[in-house]
Amino acid sequence: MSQMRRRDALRILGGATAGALLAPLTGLRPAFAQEAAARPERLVVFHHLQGTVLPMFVPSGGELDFDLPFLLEPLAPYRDDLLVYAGLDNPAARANSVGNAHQNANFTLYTGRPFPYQDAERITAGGPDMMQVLAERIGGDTPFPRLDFAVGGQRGFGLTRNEFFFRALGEPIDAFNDPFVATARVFGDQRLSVAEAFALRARRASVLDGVRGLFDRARLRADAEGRRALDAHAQKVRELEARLLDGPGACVAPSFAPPEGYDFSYDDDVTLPAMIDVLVTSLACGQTRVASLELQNAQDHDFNWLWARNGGPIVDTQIWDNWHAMVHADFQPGMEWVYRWYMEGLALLWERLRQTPGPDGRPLSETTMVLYLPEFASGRHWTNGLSGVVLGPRGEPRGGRFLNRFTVGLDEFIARSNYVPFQSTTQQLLTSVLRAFGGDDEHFGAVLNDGPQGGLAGWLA
Amino acid sequence: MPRPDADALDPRGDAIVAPDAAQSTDARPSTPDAALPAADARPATPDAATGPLPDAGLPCESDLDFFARAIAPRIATDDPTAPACKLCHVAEGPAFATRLVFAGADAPPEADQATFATFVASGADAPALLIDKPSARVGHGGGRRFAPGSADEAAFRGPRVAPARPGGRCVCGARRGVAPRTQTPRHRRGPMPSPTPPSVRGPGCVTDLDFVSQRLGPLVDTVDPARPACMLCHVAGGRAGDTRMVYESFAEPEAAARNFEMLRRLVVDTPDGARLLLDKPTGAVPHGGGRRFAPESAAGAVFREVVERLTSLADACDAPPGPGADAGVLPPPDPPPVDVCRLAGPHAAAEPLRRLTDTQYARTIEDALGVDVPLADRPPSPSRDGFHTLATQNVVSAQTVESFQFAAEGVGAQVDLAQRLVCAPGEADAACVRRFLSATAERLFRRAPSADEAALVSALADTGLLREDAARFGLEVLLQSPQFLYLDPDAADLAPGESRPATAATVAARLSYFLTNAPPDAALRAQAAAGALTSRAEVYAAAVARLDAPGVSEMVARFHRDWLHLDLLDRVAKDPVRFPTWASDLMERARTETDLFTTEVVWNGDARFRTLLQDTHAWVDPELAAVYGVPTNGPGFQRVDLGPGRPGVLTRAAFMAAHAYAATSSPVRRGAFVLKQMLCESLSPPPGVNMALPEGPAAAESVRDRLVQHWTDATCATCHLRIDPIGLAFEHFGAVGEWRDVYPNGEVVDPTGNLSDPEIAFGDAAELLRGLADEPRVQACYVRRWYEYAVGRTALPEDACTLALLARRFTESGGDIRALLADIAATDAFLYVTASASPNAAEVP
Repeated sequence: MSQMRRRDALRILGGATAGALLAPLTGLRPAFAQEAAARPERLVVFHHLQGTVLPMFVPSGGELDFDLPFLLEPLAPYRDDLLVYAGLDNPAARANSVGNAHQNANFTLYTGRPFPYQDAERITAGGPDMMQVLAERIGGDTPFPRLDFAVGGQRGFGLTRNEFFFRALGEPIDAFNDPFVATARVFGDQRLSVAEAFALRARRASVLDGVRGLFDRARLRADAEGRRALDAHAQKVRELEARLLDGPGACVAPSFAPPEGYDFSYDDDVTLPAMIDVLVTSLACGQTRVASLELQNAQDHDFNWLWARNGGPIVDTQIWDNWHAMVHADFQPGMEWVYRWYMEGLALLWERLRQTPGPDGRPLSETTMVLYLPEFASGRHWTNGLSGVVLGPRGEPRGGRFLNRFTVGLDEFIARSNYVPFQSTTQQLLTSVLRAFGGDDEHFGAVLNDGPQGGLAGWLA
Repeated sequence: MPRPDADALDPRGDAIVAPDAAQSTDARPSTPDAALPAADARPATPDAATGPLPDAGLPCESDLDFFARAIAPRIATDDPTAPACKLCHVAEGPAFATRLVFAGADAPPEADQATFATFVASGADAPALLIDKPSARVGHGGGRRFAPGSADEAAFRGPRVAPARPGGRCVCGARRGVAPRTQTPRHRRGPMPSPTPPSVRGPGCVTDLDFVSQRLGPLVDTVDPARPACMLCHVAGGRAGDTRMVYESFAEPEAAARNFEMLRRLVVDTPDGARLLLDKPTGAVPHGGGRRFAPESAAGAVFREVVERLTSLADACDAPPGPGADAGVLPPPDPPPVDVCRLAGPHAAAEPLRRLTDTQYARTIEDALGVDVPLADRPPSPSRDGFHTLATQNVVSAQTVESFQFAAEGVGAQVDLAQRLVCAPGEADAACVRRFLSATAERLFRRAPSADEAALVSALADTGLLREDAARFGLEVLLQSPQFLYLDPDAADLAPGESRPATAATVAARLSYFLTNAPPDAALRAQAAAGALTSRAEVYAAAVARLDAPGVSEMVARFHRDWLHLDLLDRVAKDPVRFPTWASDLMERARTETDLFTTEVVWNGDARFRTLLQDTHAWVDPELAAVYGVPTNGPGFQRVDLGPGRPGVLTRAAFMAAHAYAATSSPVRRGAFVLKQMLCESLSPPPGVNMALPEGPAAAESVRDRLVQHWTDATCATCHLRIDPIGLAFEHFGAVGEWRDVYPNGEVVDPTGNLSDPEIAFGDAAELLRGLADEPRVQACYVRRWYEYAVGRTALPEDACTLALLARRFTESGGDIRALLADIAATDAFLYVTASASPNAAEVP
């Protein structure tokens, strides 16, 4: 972006002056000006499907003196790095007049936009997700502007697609869900010597150079929509070519030795730590600065590695048809172990980031923000009351806090089945994330009715 | 019922009668049946609760009285079979944030009427939404509250649902459905004019005239600059007063009728008229008034609805050919194997850019290079709950681009270039490589490269590499090129929305990839080169000739896999305790069994749709036979008769397991499948609703008992009253399709039920399937799904004429699937190229 950003301009004014200006402009305490130096440089989005269990997730207490409830207990060691937020609304989900409850939530959560076409036959995302926007700002000089990983999902090809992450309008992202495929794609063929790898990359880049020439000719034979699709494809060819020319970086791929009979699309307990290793390593060696990790299995999964904790199967098939049906009935005994396990995964990710030095030698946790934002507040398709966490470098957002944005008490919110007024939105949360990385965004996503805009109130304490 | 004489109904003819008097007049029929309006010969719609709608010539009733009688009881009720709007659309309800919020559950009709009026005035889309939301034509949080054509819908379409002035004036004598836009004087009116006789489309249906007037009038007849406001210019004496579109006031019935006739002529009789009506105000083509609305806006939707209504087949396609039928873009009439729609065509929407599917990718490489690409090495073409041929599924991601690269390298490594590079004695390496690449490009591109493309391909030989390395390098370029990866759009120089006949090479490619998932073979290429694929008859003949080609049976199997959503089998798990033999390999064999069944019906059988749903034979191996409880003789797949309880493809293990849970059946999933895939209905779960079956001690309750609880919940009932009876018909089939007569709790399975629209009473799944097989609506839906699969996109309004003709021929052929394939291949979607209407498709409204 050639235009000077607001924050850059403020920075130029100088420390003391800026500190004096920041307070009235942003409502910050002057002390924050020093901590703002801890601005994150990397983003990881951690996501799982089907919401959470609010009473077990939302802390009790005030902004600083809160208690971590059962589901968040795995994050207790990182309390000072943690911002727990609660009670956000996703207004874009309600702005659609077509689609089912899942589509309304999924396609809008990270894009902040309703469907571009209010047509049941053409449901797709209305624009890039927040991660893509950020990737284009901070990932341009990395081999992968963004990397998306998944646990579970579709079989075959080692790639899976979801309804959440989009590069642009109608352009879904494929995520790696086979750790072996992910390792090979991100770190290259580790068996090659440096010279061999260089020669291979150079040759591939030359081939792609030839391919790009043919795109120009193909455009001449397409209509407007076809040209748009071809341009999007050609852009990805250019990016791949640039990545090849930039080289692989000094990466040593993590090793992975799964147990016999391992099924990457089903054995989530094995895949999750493996994918976390791939993701963290890709950050550490500068392969990317923006990554996502999504747990996609949420239909007929049995979560058998949690049976021992639960004292039996998680899903009692005498009562529930499957995990999906159980979740949609809101909290049922046994669900807490799955949702807690998700948070254990988040804790494991953060711990790995703490342990792993980045390219500058500092622990990745000092330069990485992790965002967890569920699409539902409960299994009952609630898109109001969304509650999650942000882990990040201390300073932005300030950690060790509970940001309660509910307008009514939690009991009343649940009793009224989420049909209560809201005061903050997911769009504001995503705006704040972009701002945390230095963006001058006024608002992320579509401006809907008279809803609140700008950043999330309380984000900066 | 004899048609009552309008004069006899109101002997005073044009007298205004006070509401009270109207109720007591002898002239007013005392029973609902007797009072049914006859002006549009509408069939009787039983409506004991609220009585019939008043119509022209009936004694007068104030708007408020009308509202209190016809609307209020429908909205202020907790009857789950009624619209029951006030269950949600109140301040404390889930629809509290919408534009339609009633003052309260107990608010009087006056207040509710005012709420309706406020809503109708809230936006151009509001009048349409008042009908389309509760009928679930568009997404509605409360699901479908009434059926299209129902008495409820008729009431909501009434002229005085939301008059401009709540409380309302008496509008006696006004045409039903044309909302009075000016105050009607309270004095004697002249005789009722008789504009264009309204056509009728079914029970409870509004006339074409009313439809167009109600939808289009508020958008056109206004000075509001935020609306299309066509009549700012398109009126006599206006800036556009000399065009073919000149409106008069919609407020006057006679003028509204003339407007209708003007629009009908424009849309139906004028070549490209429909397209111009849509493209001019959206700015897709030059328009003196500039851009009046975005294509995807609410106004755009109304304009498309109106065009669809005017061109819909109930009237237009069956009407005598209009003057434009032989003009415009249609080629001279051929002896049509498929009836050519007698309107100006082409009758097909623009084709999106389509990437080859994984199978097409591999077949094309095999055809050009003789290399077999293993499944695991093919770039993926995902399908998730839909056809894998849909262009929207095949959007390329960054990861897919890299997959192309790896796959191209793999193919390059496999090709025996020493054998394929046949160089002439003394021929330079570069020239030899150039010749190889040029020939290969023509095969991979499925057409002769353009001069520019040929130059680029030729230059690939000049890398300075050794001969085979240079050929491999060039080959990898070709294999990642868009000319190979996408079907040729063939849309060079087409203006937005413009159509023209496709080139022979394009027709050949479309035909071949549809029927065989492979590029055109030598015979088809020769036909195209000889110009023998330019007429509909030639294309139809070419399609018929290829119905026995090797790839067709696999294509048919793949269609049915997608149609039946068998990809769900990849994601379902079965309870290992109850179904210890159900492993992934059995799942795959169940899919194979379905493949064998569908291809046998279409190839070795009579190819009838009825047989697909009725035949009881199956190909099973011993493990599958155990699921079905039938004996086999030794290993391997063998043909068996499963008996009358398992007719057709919908009773087989693959379908049953895909649409079931881990441990038990899912009547909801199975019923929803039938509604969506066999009746082409759209279902949309409401937000904030518990979608699970109500909890209960399973040991004590049957699935039916638990579902019945759904039916008593108003929010759930509208959909589940329709879904569940269908699904329950399949209750003899358990989680993996095993037969059961009793549930684990000892309860006897009860598969009986009734389906409305179409009316089918059934004792079990076999009877339901028998009824569905013969149902024209089901056949039309099957045709539609095939068409969508073939053209790589969902059907759009522009396809309506084609779909109707396909359905008619399908029915006339006795449901011959093979004939359907040939018919589809000879439709306008194959014969024409149409550029997308939007010049800037990236624009988001």
